[in-house]
Amino acid sequence: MKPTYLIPVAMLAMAAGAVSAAKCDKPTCAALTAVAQDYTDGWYNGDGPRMRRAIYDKLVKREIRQGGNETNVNELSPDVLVNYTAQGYGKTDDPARRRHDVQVLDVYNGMAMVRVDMQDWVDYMQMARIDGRWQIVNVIWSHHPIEK
Amino acid sequence: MNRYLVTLALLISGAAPAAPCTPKQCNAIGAVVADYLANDARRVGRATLAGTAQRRVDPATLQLEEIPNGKLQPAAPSRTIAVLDVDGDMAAVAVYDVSRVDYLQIGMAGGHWKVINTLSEQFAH
Repeated sequence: MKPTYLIPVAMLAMAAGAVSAAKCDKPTCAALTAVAQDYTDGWYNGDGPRMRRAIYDKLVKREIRQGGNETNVNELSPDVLVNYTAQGYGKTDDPARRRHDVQVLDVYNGMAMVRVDMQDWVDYMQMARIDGRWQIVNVIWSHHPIEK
Repeated sequence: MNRYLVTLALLISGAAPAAPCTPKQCNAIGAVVADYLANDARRVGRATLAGTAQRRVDPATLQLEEIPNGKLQPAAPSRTIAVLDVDGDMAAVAVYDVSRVDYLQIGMAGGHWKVINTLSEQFAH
């Protein structure tokens, strides 16, 4: 191995090793989790304004489907997401149907990568701190596989 | 070399509690990331969708900016690619460059891994 490979490899080892560790200081993790919770609780409570608070006004949310066509990645606009939420598409009071596991995967200064496991799907969120407030700006999501 | 690094990362991260991806997945993801960050329009086009969202946080203005297609600066050769997590046909990837960090959301579309959304920030000086 050439010596020049050693530095990136060492950096990579650090990055890989840190994935399972806490990726942010307490206040930052708390702020990111609070935003994710606005999203999850907003959905399960049918609370449109709370969902709206969590997301950037130009949110890009795209679904990854099994067998999806690369020219047709299903996209949900922020207004449609808020409307679906307010109409109660996800509303439930059953605690067993309100899964909301939040995991901060990585943070660098004003941006973060967060995973949220919902009852029926998984979201990968990119959050940005805009004017001092964390917001969800990009999302890809996919339904949980159907158990056979 | 990029594929080599990802492979090495797999070997190194093999000691971690849970590898985020299989060797085959990690190699495929590493390859699409390398295409995305190359200084080569053909490779970038191969790695992205027509509507890939490319955004960056401006640490000076604290605003989010759109990066027009084709305007992303290629990453340095010494960049480090870390697959943060994989779930089915989706992956979350971070790229640590000498001057910036890129977060990539990658998904399977049409049988190929594609960069779907990105968020970047330059290192503060």
